[in-house]
Amino acid sequence: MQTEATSKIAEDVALVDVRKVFRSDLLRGPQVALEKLTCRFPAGRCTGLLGHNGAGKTTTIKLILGLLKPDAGNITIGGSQISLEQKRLIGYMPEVNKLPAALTAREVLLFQLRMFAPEFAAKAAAKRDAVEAALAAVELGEHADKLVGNLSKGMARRLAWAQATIHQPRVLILDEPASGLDPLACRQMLDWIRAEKLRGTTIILCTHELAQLVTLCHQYHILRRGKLVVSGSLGPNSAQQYIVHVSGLRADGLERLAEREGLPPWRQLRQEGVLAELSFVGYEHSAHWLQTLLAHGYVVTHFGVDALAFEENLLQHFAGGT
Amino acid sequence: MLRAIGLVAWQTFTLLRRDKMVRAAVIAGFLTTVLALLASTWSIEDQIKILFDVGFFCFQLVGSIMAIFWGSKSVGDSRQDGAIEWQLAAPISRTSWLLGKYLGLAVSTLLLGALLLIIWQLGMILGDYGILSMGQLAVYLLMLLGWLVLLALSLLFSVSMRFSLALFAGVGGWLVGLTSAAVAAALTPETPPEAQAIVRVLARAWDLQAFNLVDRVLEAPGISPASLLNHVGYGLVLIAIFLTVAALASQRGDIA
Repeated sequence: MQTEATSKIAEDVALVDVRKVFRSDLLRGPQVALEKLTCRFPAGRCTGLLGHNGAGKTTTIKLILGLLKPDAGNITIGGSQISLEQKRLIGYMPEVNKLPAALTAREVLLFQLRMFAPEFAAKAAAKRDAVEAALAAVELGEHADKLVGNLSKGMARRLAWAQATIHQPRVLILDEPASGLDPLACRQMLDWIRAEKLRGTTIILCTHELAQLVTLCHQYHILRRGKLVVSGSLGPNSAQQYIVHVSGLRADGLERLAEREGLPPWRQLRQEGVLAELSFVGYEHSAHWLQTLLAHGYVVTHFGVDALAFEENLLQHFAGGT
Repeated sequence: MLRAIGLVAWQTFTLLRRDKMVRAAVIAGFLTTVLALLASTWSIEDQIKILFDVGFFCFQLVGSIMAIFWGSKSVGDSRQDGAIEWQLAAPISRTSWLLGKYLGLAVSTLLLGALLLIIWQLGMILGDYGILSMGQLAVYLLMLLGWLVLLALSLLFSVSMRFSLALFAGVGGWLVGLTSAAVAAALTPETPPEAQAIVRVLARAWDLQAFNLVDRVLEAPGISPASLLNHVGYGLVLIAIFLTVAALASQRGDIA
């Protein structure tokens, strides 16, 4: 999957006051899909786009891809309006397999490479090598000449990933990338996304899987009925809840340690056998505790964002709470 | 832009050559040739006329149906399975995409036409009718142009309608085009003048019989090159009009 564009400069994607109304349904009248949507997907960061079904996630993606035309507002990539040249920077992996069933895996990748990376136009050998490398990377080398319609769901998802990334896009749009995959294939997909993240690609991850959001994204936007209801960060400086699991310390021991070392108070303490779970609001408090516990030689078995609390918080936004 | 058009054309052609309808069309072409040969053998006079009347009528039927079906299906299928999103997420304008689609469809249709021509020529040789004359070949090529016109019309419909509707509209347009000249010629003096004017304008603007000159080429004095060029020009203008309107229609709407 190596093209000539080895030094990648990520691009940010911005939507400003975007409005989209669907007018095709005569019975129900105009449907407002997005209303004054303003959000930014920063360069080189992985941003989650969440919302219930019909919240406007796919509409947002299609607007960025130029498949839909906004009724109002601006969409830019790297500060410029989306043109054909800008579209060359994008890689898109749709939710369901949307590749033509009567093409082979190799033909799909060849088309993608020729279309998105014109520098390959005159280099047959380089083009062939790039396609073979992409097929090998997603373990489809043996199935290169199979028709897309004859591939299993897992293979089709791997091919969809290969076609989205073969031209080394600067912006990668992923719509439910792990949908329908078995746990092993799902983990592989997440590893590939992590690798793209490390390369500095701007990633827009549309997902319902909150665990994926927590492990992959730097930040997130939540849409509800076409409006942005909340944006948040998942980085170490955010206001997320963090948890620390420590072994061999009970409540009284923890209290004494806190008093002696002047540690910040925890938000909640749960004790299960010899394991204590401390939860904190914000990264700094939890990191302070982690440092102290390790310095005193206690066994810390887990440290990270409290996924349950985070999920609870997000579900409130989904459902319409604050 | 030309590279992108070529890529879409190549992809469209690749998809169509795997279409099961190709086999059906080739079998239909073979049966048509056999039927035309049998019909001409059974007759006691005008054998060559019967051969061409039966054969070209059936070819006209097969080719036109294929053109309408492919024109509607190519975009309809892409829309139904969502491939249109993948294709148009690429750095290609909608007009280029449409032109690429048409080019791929046209190449596929012309290759099908060439295959049917080979079958026909072999049939003629086996039936001791010899080799096609230049005039007969010109009539065949004009018929192919008629298929390309129908292809452009179907593509226009498929850009703005769902597959089933586009197919229905394409077949309707084909039937109107086949009968418009005959209807205009059969108008009686009792027909209201406004209706006469409408029918005559329609017959002049949309007449698919302009691509069926088999009678004129088989009878003296034949068809002049200038007249043939007029018919070719008419076909090319129709294709240009249909593709222009299709390109304009594709600019307006959302995809999928």
